[in-house]
Amino acid sequence: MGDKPTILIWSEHPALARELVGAARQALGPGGDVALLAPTGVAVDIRSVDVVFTTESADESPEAWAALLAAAVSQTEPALVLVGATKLGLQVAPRLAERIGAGYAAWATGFTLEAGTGAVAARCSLYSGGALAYHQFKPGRVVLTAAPGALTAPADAPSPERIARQSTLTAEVDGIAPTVIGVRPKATSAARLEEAHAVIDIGQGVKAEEDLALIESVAALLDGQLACTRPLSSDRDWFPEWLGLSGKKVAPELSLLIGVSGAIQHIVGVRDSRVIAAVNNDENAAIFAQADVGVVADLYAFLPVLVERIKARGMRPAWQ
Amino acid sequence: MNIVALVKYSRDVTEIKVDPATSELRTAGVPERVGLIDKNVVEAAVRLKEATGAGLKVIALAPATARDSFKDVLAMGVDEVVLIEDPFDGEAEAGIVVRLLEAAIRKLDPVDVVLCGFASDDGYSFQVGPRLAERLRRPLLAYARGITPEGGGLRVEQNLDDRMQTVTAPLPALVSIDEEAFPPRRTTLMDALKAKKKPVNVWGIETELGLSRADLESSARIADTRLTGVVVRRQQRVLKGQDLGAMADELIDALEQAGVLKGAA
Amino acid sequence: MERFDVIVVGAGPAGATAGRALAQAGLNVLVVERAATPGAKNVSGGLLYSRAVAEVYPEFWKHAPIERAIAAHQIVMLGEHTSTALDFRSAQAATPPFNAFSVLRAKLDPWLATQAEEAGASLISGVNVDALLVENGRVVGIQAGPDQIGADVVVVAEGTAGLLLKQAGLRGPHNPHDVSLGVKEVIALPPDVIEERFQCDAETGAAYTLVGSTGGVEGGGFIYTNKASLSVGVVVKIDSLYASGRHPHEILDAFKAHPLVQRLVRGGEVVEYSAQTVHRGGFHLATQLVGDGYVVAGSAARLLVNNVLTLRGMDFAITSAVEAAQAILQARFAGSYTAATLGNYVERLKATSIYQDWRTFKDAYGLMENPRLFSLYPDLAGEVLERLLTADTKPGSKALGALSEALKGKASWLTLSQDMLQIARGMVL
Ligand SMILES: Cc1cc2nc3c(=O)[nH]c(=O)nc-3n(C[C@H](O)[C@H](O)[C@H](O)COP(=O)(O)OP(=O)(O)OC[C@H]3O[C@@H](n4cnc5c(N)ncnc54)[C@H](O)[C@@H]3O)c2cc1C
Ligand SMILES: Cc1cc2nc3c(=O)[nH]c(=O)nc-3n(C[C@H](O)[C@H](O)[C@H](O)COP(=O)(O)OP(=O)(O)OC[C@H]3O[C@@H](n4cnc5c(N)ncnc54)[C@H](O)[C@@H]3O)c2cc1C
Repeated sequence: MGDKPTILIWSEHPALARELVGAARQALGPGGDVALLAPTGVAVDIRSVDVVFTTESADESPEAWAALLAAAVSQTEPALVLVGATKLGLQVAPRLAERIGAGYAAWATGFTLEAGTGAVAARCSLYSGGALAYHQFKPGRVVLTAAPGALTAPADAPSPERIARQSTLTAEVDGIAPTVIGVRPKATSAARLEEAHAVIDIGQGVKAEEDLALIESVAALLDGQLACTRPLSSDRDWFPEWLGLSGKKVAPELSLLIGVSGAIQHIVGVRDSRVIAAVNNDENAAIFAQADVGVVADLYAFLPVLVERIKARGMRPAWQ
Repeated sequence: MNIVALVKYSRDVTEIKVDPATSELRTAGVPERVGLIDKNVVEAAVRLKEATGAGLKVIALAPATARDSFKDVLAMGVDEVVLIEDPFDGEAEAGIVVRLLEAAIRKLDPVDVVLCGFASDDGYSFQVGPRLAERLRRPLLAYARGITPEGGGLRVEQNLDDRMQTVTAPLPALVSIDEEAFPPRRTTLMDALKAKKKPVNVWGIETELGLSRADLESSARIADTRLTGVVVRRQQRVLKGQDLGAMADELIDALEQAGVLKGAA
Repeated sequence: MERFDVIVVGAGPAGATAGRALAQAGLNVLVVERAATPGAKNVSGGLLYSRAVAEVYPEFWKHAPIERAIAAHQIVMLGEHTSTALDFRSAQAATPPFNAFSVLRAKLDPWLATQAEEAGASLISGVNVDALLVENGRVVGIQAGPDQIGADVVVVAEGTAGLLLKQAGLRGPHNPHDVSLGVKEVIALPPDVIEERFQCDAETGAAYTLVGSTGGVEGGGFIYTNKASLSVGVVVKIDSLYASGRHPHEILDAFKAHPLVQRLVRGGEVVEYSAQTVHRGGFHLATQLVGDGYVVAGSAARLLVNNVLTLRGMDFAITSAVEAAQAILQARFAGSYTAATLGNYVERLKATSIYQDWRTFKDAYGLMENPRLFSLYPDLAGEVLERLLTADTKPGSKALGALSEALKGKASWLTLSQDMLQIARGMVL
């Protein structure tokens, strides 16, 4: 690895790859090299990369990407491999780590790379986001995955123009990959939750689908988009997606949580909101420790009163 | 046909508290149990067993005292539990865990299908399936929402980020189960009574698996891990009482102060 | 249909003990408990009176998960801003055979259940018994989900609610007048803080019974010291609670806010909250204990001493279960399990000392009805002492005079002395 460490990067999403490059550049300073295995069919417009690998292969299986990355590793001998934490990336990265005998940790939110020794330390999200683990790796290569937004470098970080060395990689995928026999696009929701100023986030305290009318009356007054906890989507099928650990993450001006207990796996989806308010009839619910202001009340009794008071006082969202 | 389901004895992370003053994690007393994700794994395995008439064993890494925690899993239809007595108390890094699981699977060979969760409830690091696939050199059918035996192999419906994908693979193979894809069945009293007669065999890593603790430890890639809790910084104002109108007004005032609402111009 | 000699419904103190006793005698016993682990949802303030228990589980304190031996008992009247206490300490209570231990049900019940399993009973937890199977007025087994399981005799040890009996038409509905609601928190505190606040050592602990400060709702409160936590709760009459229109947790909050209680629980973290109904447990509530094919044990049979000053049900449950098991064995010898052959249970129970206690306290149940106990006396006691102890410019008055002053317009001397007698009868120290 020498004293000029290299960080190798891959994500199938160009935007995420760009984020990882930014974070790598910042960690390395001007000294080290950033190498990128480019996503298929994407013109490499990422500046500040020293080495770019492209591939002609149309195989987008995790096995293929793991093989390509392994080939890129043997060419660049990186101290660190950074992979985007998507469902695909989370298959590729541990495979790679196992194959090249590297250390591995998922959900990095920060890392350091010592210039002289190449020693890596990483801060990773643990217990669904309730805790942080600080790992000090033993000497040797390390693979980390990072989710979108987890490693963001400052926007004004200098990104020196580099002349990237380009080369094309091919890799043998051994015959044990499954055979793809069909693909269907997934239904995605029209809701653009990430852009909402207010999110009205409901949980199992809302008992019946008809009750959504009541929730919508609150949403209308607050200019909010409806969102939900996992059970309302996966068990009851009221919405195509949910907020949380395995769902979407939002950071609006206001999240109003209604009939949500406040399980950490859900809270990680809303905890970057500027203001969190909650309505729950169980005063011992965990949500009250997660909110700026909480109301202990039956939602069916309270929301109509809230609607009436907002109207009576002529209140409206600050952004309108 | 022989099926093995991998089950993690995991912490209920919703019960982990953080000391607001020191950021210290309070994990003492947090219940450990067969994870919710892994209950889905067992359900998928039992359905496959029912469809094929295969034998079904569970491999779990847990303290020997956890024996009784597998009653439910046995009641669901598993034939036998192999409990690898965890010498690392749940603290080993995934690379080591995978080696233990690999050794146990090899000892149970021939194993045609290995099922595991896409992640574990507490670690949630998505590692076991892909790493085992590498070590066992078997195809991995990841994020499965549907599993059908077909032509001596398996057909699996995968839930990927942007698409649903159908894949096939010959046996032996590995399958990882997608989130909430196989809601566990409710067991009955008769199921529980039958489960009482099924074995939970405790295996030692040295005695039964022929591994050495020292070798395993030297394969660790992480030298040191320090944990801290994420402290919530919210105002935590709680409004309670009988007068809903007054509470609504207080909430509105609070939102106005926070700059979320504004009065009529 | 799958069959057992005996099926026990519920693995609380009564069910586990019955299961153990019957399995020890070689019977094929099934114990069914609805909680995922026994005790997970069971509520007791947590004083296990040891005398009767030690007869069934000899020297249990050496093996069972007990918290502290209770060597100090305080009875406190909480006035609005005063507290008047009777402080009883006994060195004897800290040595075998002890008087009482604080216990946590989440630990005690699994231990009891393990004793039954080790004796050979089959324990199935996490399964709810949905109904008793009744044929021609005779209980012949149980229904749980899709499964029916038969037995010669069923031991009903389902606790206070008694739903199975009610549903099978073997018992009438509760009279709300006869039921109280207990709400309780377990508040974690370091052992050294507990030992300092309650003036005890590492093995011993204190029990506080408190009257008043339940916001006029008839009932009382308790604080018991565990190893590293306190059990803090109130037990209030349901009808009185409804009439007050207040939430149970509000009553508990108000109780915890009293300066005396506040000082004892300060800085602790609430780690558990639970609520459960409990019979007022009067002798007058005694119900039918046997019928064809079944016996009822523990609090399902309303075997409970509950008179504000004492709440005692676990030891009674254990004793009743042993007697029920003995009666079943006798019936088995006779080869029939009718109300008549099982009736021996009642006779055996009547011969136990705990049953005698139950009778002895029968006059004290009226305490629950006595509103003066909850509203007048706590303040009265405080007022009297305040007058006696406060140095002011008036000439010092004697105790009786002070009481007379304080009583004026609130109650007569006669009422007072009658009430005091009633209170005296309600005490077990
Ligand atoms: C590995 C893993 C990943 C997970 N990922 C996610 C995730 O990404 N997103 C997610 O949401 N969950 C996730 N979960 C599930 C999570 O742990 C919780 O189970 C879930 O968030 C609970 O949803 P809830 O708050 O709607 O329901 P509940 O926990 O049932 O809470 C309902 C609340 O409503 C209140 N309530 C009831 N009636 C009323 C009323 N009339 N008025 C007011 N309040 C009322 C109740 O007091 C209660 O607090 C995950 C779990 C695991 C194990
Ligand atoms: C707040 C409070 C404080 C108390 N304090 C004390 C005290 O300090 N000391 C004391 O001695 N007593 C105390 N008691 C009383 C004591 O808790 C009871 O008397 C005692 O628990 C009775 O034991 P049991 O085995 O009869 O019933 P329980 O302990 O109630 O056990 C009944 C069991 O049956 C199970 N069950 C019920 N229905 C079914 C079903 N359909 N299928 C399967 N399982 C079922 C329940 O889950 C439970 O485990 C207190 C009670 C309360 C509520």
